Amino acid sequence: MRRLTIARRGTQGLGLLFGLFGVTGIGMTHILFPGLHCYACPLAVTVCPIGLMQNLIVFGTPPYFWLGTIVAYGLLAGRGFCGWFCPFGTLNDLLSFRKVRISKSLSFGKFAVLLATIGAAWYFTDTIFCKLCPAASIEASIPYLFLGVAKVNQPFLIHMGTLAGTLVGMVLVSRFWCRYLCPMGGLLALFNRVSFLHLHLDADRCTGCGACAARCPMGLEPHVEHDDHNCIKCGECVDACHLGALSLRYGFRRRT
Amino acid sequence: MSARAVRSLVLPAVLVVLSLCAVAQEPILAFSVEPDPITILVGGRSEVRVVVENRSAFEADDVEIVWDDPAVVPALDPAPIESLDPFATDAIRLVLEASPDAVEGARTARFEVVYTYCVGDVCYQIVEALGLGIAVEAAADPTVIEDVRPTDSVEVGERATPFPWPWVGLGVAFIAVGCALFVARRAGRRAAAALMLVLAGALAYGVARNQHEQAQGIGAVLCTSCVGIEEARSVHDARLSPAAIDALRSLDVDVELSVFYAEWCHSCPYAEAMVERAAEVTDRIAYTFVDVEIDPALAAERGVIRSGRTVVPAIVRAGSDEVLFGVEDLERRLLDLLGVGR
Repeated sequence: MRRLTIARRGTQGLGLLFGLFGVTGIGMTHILFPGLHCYACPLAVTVCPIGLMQNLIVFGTPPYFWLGTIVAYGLLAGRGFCGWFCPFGTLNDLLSFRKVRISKSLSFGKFAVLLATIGAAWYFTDTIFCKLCPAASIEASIPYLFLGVAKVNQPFLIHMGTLAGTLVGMVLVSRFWCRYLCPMGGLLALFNRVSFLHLHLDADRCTGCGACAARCPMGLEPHVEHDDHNCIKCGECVDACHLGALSLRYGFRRRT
Repeated sequence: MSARAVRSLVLPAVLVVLSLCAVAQEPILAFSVEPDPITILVGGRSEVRVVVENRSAFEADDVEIVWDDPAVVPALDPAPIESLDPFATDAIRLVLEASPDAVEGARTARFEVVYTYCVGDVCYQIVEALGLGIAVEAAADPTVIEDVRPTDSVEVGERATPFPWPWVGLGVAFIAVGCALFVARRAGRRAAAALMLVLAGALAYGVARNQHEQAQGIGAVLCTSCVGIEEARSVHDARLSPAAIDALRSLDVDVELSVFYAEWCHSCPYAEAMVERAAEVTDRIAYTFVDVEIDPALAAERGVIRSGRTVVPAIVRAGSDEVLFGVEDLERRLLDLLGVGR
């Protein structure tokens, strides 16, 4: 039974709709998007947290509003937003054919990307990450080419290059971008162990068969690392476990 | 308390500390006038200092005062501050003189502080309007400041920029809560509760400072070079080719251009400078600069919007529907817009 997977496709669809809500004519709102979604997208009605973070660093503005929102998202679901809502995560999902085991050391790459994004914004006083972001490639570069604002020039080709590289990575390794490179995932991962949405393991029921690990798109072994910062709480492992040892829960955690 | 719970606190704490470290001081220059108000006797002089604090992480240049009060005027041209280092404080000495026929009474004299602020290759000229309370009194015993000499800017000791208590307070409070939880039990709940306090405080303070509006403003405006739609161009590259100058000289109709910009847009100063260069060649060109964040309605009216997003820089010719977005190949496109292209 894949009831969580079906539900997740529904919320991912909502995430996509939310990302494209500008089609209704609503302009930009004050809301930060709880995922990677370019605010330059012609249909965006929400602000990209990574783009805003870079701008605040460039302006020298203390990020109170940004920080409060990120902590709120972190507490509400942590990386659950990656698994259940983020449109770019959805694209990763759709191309997740090879569920290879995660390389732990590489998974810290997203924190390195986050730090590099912060450092580059400060050092170059520019939104450097946005110029490489594959989400911006899809949601800004390509649409603006058709809207007559962008041209096929060097920055456009750089965007297409990073997008192509990311797509190839997604095909070769499931959730490649989310595992290794996403700075937004890195931000939310900081809160993964305290967020209200969490994966619960009933150790008495678990036989260690590894069925959950075979289904995990992030390449984790949920029966031994159910609280990992890489876990996107997608629930694939819950569906895979026929013994009911794993469950997704919401609320304060109970220590087991 | 388990090691896992400790780890769960350390990472958010690192986030807060990184965020606090990443941000610079509040922009840009802060001003105070000492003393304020002042008293000047009719026909006499009085001295004030305009103290300038650089609260940013970048240098400010050519800080100068433009005085705008006819009755009380500077007796000497105030010496500008040529360069003000990040987080430094300096002052401009201002000797004011009331003319013999100055009207007695209290007034607020208006003046402006003009300075240049560069972030990377992009420079802005910023104007801050200030006021100074002046009481002009009868000259029973005129006090004249003798031996007033032109002076360079006056060093104001080592007074530092006001310490950023709110930021540090936020970070320290968060870390203190984290440390308290280190020795507490059931850290999962407590960590979540502490984070809820942090987020509520940060959100409330951020909204009180209008940061949600700032976020919306940044999201609503697309700066073409900021997301890699085109390369940023520096204002220093704003030059017209000899062929373009010849073409502009052949312009035989009056043209009005509007340059739409945002303060934080990297390529906008280049677009503005190119229009200025063109206007220097021929007096047929009149131009205005429009900040899209101040006047979004005009931007919408003039078509500087693509699918809901205001795009800057953009140049619009009055009476034409065509909009030049961005700065790529701007010289050629500008000549085409003016009707003098090849």
